[in-house]
Amino acid sequence: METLWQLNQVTKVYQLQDPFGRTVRVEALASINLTGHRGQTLGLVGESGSGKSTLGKVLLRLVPPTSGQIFFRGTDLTGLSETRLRLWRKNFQIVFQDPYRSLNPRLTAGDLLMEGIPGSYRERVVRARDLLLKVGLSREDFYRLPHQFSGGQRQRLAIARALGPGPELLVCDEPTSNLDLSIQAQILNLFLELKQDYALTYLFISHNLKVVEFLADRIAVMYRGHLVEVGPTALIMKKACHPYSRALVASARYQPTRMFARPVRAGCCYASFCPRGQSQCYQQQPPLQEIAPDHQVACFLPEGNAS
Amino acid sequence: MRRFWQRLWKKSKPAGVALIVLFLLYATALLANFLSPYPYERQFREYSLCPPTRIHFIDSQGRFHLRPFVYGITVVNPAFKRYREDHTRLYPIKFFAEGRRRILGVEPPGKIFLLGTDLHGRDIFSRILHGARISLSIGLIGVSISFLLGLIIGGVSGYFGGRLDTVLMRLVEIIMTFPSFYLLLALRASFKPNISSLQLYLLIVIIMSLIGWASLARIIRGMVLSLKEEEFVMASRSLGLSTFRIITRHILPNTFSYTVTALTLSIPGYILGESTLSLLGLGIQEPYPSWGNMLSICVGNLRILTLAPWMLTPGLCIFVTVMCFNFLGDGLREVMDPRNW
Amino acid sequence: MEKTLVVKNLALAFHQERRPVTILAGVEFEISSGETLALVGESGSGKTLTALSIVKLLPPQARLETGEVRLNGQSLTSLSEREMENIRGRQVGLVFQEPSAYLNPVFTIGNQIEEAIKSSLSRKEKKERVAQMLAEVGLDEKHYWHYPHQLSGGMQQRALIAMALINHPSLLIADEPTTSLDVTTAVQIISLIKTLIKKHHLALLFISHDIALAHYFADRMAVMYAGRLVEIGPTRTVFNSPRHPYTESLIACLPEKYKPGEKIRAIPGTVPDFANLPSGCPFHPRCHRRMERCFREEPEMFPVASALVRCFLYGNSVATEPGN
Repeated sequence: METLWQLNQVTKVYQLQDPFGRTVRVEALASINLTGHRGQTLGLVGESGSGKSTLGKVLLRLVPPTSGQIFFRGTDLTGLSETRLRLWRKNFQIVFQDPYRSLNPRLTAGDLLMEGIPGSYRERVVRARDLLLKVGLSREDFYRLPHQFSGGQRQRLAIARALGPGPELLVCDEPTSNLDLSIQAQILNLFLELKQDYALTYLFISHNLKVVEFLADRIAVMYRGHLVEVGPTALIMKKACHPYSRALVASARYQPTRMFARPVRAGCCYASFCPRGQSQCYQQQPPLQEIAPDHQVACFLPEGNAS
Repeated sequence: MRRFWQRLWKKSKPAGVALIVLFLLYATALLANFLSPYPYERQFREYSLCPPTRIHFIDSQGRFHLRPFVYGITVVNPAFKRYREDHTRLYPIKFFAEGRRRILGVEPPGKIFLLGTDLHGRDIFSRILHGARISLSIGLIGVSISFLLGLIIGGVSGYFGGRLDTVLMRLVEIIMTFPSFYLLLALRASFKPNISSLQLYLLIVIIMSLIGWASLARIIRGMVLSLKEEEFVMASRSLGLSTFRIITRHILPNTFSYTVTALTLSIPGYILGESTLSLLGLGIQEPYPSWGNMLSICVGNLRILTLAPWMLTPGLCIFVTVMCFNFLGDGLREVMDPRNW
Repeated sequence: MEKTLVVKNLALAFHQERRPVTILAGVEFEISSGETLALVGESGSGKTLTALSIVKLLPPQARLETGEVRLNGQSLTSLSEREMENIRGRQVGLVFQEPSAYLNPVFTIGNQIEEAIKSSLSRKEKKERVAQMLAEVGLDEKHYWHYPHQLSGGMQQRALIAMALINHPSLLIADEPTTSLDVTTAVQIISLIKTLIKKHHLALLFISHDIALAHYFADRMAVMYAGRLVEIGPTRTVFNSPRHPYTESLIACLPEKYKPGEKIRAIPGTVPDFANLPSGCPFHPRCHRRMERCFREEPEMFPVASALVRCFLYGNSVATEPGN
């Protein structure tokens, strides 16, 4: 399988000031290694604050990483200046969660679409109109403002806008979380269609495991800035090895998991809640290790036996 | 333009009316020479503090005149400024009576003082029209300068951040800590007292707007700072748009609903600032009129107020203008919000 | 035996600007003690307004046109605001979606729960009661002294549940209580509510947009669309053999029902706006089984098996042959 993008030891640390003026280090991404294969959908799940959204933004270099390297088609994007990077940007685009905030309220649908399309004015108009139809909007919508659309239609518009430059990689950051079930179904179908028509590669970020299960070929599970498990969808859903992945899968089926709460300051990111912790877990973070082909887990005591 | 007007009228009737009134005010200021019966500096010494001339249609014999006319003015008591209409002399109001340049007037030696005269016997109506040029333009020019400075400095400071931001914001804070009014006095005092009216006018505008931009820049910086983190800005960056385009198309327009309103509401400050300076004798100098310096004569002189209350009409003009700008500002706040389109 | 909550023929309209806009029409359901009724619908279906009409916490432009609400045999419809204040908290507990919005950041958790106690008790008795309640919702005694921001979202929601139940009400209304929480926490909160319902013989009105969650959680389920109940019945019946085309399509929208690569059978179009509802049955423009009369007439509730369904497919059999 061909690698399209790769994160190599990527770390993102935010330095925040607490009310007393002290600097607090928040590690949003803790040396992440992750690979995306061309033409595949990688689902990234985790709860709020797990750093999954930061990972998407760092991958597109919308947020600079603190350390590590980002490779896209084998080129290291980390060292590129913002100006050089702009030439690369047409290859990877993003769709955000809230279509009410990701579209400039002052520009019409047509203006928003045409901004991202290269070429002469005439070409851009033609392509913008095509894209409108492609995502299930109508020609008349060209002159409408974002607030005149419903939530689902806005998300369609945001998707069309991201497709404008003709990207290979589309990062979808919780694109259906704000939508109703019936609208979510329409948008998920749209993602399926677009993937086929444009041979897209998705990084699909969501807290909703069921949505990710539906779309993704592989699933990566994040917890507090760490990747805890990466593997094929069916494997994660049936035989996850990391206790946190198991808890997530159980919750998606409405089975409550017993949560522990020990005050653990060092060691594994999940140690405070893990039902199986032992001394090693309270001393160091387990590295993400390959326990079977295409299945990586960051746990000293992986549950079950995957292979 | 038409869509803008429709929106404004739909959202707020007072703002619509205010816009019309302001439009008329600015039009009269522009056409001051044409509309005023006399040049602003023309003195009729014998008619000082003459009350507004009454316009008649029916003469003392009870005959009706289709063309309105005024009576001649007789001085009853020059010491106490008593005047009486002379019913024997009758001057019809004519177009272009005094040459080609003035639309309104009466044949000499008749006089028409629509709003009375001041101490030197100058026609207040003509002076108000000319004074409007100063008082109405000072706000517009001042606001344009501070808007431009505020938008550029605030925008740059907010978007790029870092050390540049720190330096610019310290500058803003320094400017904001100046007691602006005393600064104005000090700067004015440092120039020669006998500079021309035009120079003085420009000087006042520039000083006032150089103080005014700071608070605007600070607010715009704050808005840019939060808009920069908005997802639509992030989405535009991801599309590979240039920084210039992101700032001008995606960030600054979204500050407009605030800035345009703030600007409209700050115009009265310039008008009032000019009149305060005039009041202290530091504004526009006689004989050139501004609403401020016309009013300044009345202040502290109660005798004039009781004897010639029409001298206060420039104050009424300031009041109406300031009110109109306030109403317009409130209306614009609604109109500039794209959710109301 | 009288049911805990009886809602009869509820109709609600918004009175603004020009003409009144009908929001709810003919909403009817009952909940007995120990039973959970899930009110399911997409945003803009009127499910939250239904809950708010029961406790009369309506926005100022809303007006109840018809209908009756009976709680433990007592009619709430004619009660004054003063009397309603007594009902809320004492007989009805409320839990909402965003726990942080309902907790005052400057008072401790214990303080706020204690303040909710409506019966006159001594300070010591109150404290004991709060401690007992905290334990019941799975919080620690030390949380009494914590401020809301020191608790996680799930713990805040637990505190709110404690507050809602402190007066031992007979009805609990939970409006999307887990929507803002992480999945793992959400499931814990749900199971907590389930335990408390059993223990205190509460009637629970559970409002949710998540039909799968409602299926897992509720005894009976009521599906709302455009301010109308379209189907109500035992959860298993409604979820496993949905009769109303909307319920059927909504369940078909769940992504977990499909194999990889399959397309979801999505409902076309969007939820209609209350100000201009379609004629006849409000669902007909999106319905795959619509008939000619759906354009003109609005169906009533027809009994089918153990459920009630608002669809002409199941009653007034004059025109049941499926059209286009």
